[in-house]
Amino acid sequence: MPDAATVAEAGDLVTEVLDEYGAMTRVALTEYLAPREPQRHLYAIVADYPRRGGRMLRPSLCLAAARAFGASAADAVRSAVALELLHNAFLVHDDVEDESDVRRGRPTLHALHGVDVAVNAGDALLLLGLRALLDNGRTLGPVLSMQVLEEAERMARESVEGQAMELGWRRDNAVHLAEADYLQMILKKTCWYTTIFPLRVGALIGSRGRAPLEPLLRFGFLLGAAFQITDDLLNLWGDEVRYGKELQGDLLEGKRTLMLIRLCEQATAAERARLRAVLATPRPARTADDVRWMRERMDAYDCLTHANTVAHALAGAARHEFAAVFGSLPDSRDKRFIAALVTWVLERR
Amino acid sequence: MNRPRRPTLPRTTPVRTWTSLFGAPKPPATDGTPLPDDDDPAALGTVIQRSVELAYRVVDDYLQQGQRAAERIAGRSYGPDAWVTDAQDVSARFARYASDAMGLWLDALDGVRDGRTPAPAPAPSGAATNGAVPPSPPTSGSWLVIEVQATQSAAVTLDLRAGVAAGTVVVHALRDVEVEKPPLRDVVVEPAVGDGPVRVCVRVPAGQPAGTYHGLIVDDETNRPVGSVSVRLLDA
Repeated sequence: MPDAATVAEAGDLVTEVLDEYGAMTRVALTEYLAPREPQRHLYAIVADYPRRGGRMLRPSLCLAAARAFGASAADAVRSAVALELLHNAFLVHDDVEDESDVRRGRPTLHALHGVDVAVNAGDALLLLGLRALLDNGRTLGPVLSMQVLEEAERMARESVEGQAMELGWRRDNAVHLAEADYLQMILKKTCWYTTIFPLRVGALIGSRGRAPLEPLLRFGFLLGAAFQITDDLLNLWGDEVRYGKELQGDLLEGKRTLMLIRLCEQATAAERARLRAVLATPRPARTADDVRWMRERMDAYDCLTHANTVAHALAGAARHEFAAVFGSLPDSRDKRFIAALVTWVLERR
Repeated sequence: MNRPRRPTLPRTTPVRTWTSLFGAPKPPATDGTPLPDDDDPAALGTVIQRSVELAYRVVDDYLQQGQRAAERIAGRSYGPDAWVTDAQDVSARFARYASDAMGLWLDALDGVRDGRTPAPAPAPSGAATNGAVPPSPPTSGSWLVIEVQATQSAAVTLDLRAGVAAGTVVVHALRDVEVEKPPLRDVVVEPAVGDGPVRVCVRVPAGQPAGTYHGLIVDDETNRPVGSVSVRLLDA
């Protein structure tokens, strides 16, 4: 059981590695985000989200996994860049689909330039990510780079399937969801591209395609699920400046988080009827009173505490799976970084 | 000689609190009122165990789906086994569509009864495999226990309207889309009593053919449909 000193030490290590690998990825990103024509209506907009910063969790995890399995950072940096480009492409499209107003502390791309220009910029980011994956052939050779490409195709497919599940729930105004539904959705929508793909690609590159990938799916899912639940909690009680998105935005969007699913389960019939009516209202018509009421009911039914407990439980399970995946690898800073992420995903603010 | 002694601690048992395992604070309540105490070890332990079991079940199901897909792709795509499996999948999908359509119909009935526009169909509300207890209830505020007696792998899906009173429902025989297969008749659904669970008891006779069996749950007094139950059986 980690004490406060261990938690602080883990946090320091994660910050240090995120800074280092984040900087490495940003340098490599410049090749793909260099100014070119049409600059004003495409490439300047394409470079906007990646230049807003962000923690660089995904590329750092990919680089750390590759190094923990024995590769050099140079072998994995193009995959890390591809991951960051694809991540930003998803963010652009997600912001349009979710009608979000704020991303990384600034107006979303579609709020600044309109939906048409933003969607096109998102498409360009996807293609730039594909370019980076194809460039892997220069350093990894055709066989390994094709394996990485296949992983990327699967990751992208899983992500859009997960997004479709979530959008479908909102479209259908689903209020009879179970926690298992939520976990299935985030397995696809969040975990694949946040943790599973970076870990698997890093392991593929580090082991030259020999590492078994299934245990990484299990570990990545548990880690990613703890991350996502905590992220959803931060939307309700976090610091808006540090969080970078609008607080309570998930309630405004009617996002089916674990807390909302819990509320639907615990609410009385009358409350559920009101909840259904509020969630059926288009986002612009949803009022501050609606959001306040949902949040107040969540507190009344301890939905945040419940979700927090689930996140901790899954992080505990992730810690167990970590030993199965990485136990046989020699000790390294990268291995310790991945272990420390289990604590960090719960502690970040 | 004065030997150093450990100070006497106020606690008499180990302090194990999952919510503070990694030092995470409790979330603040928005209205400033203190949150209810969540340190009840039994309740907390149940949540933790259930969450972890549920997560493993989700990821294991997902891995099994991938494994089956890979097996079909890896050289067995055109063998007779694959055709049988595919046929079962098609049959299961057909039954699922029927289940979804029934959900829509039930919602429409609710809407007509309440004098409002029919709402979209909810997602499937409860499912379990081989007698496992799903984490979340089909009816709000209650929980679900599924008991399966079968010699082969079985997955049970239940869709039961909220607020159905105990002792008032009957389950029609569950039939496969292939009518020559014998129906499953020994299926009982007991709605929740008070805070108790919804109980589903399924007994599958030995030798029952694989397939997806689907049946209506109706209110015994009004004969109005209040849900549906599906049992998917794999080959023994």
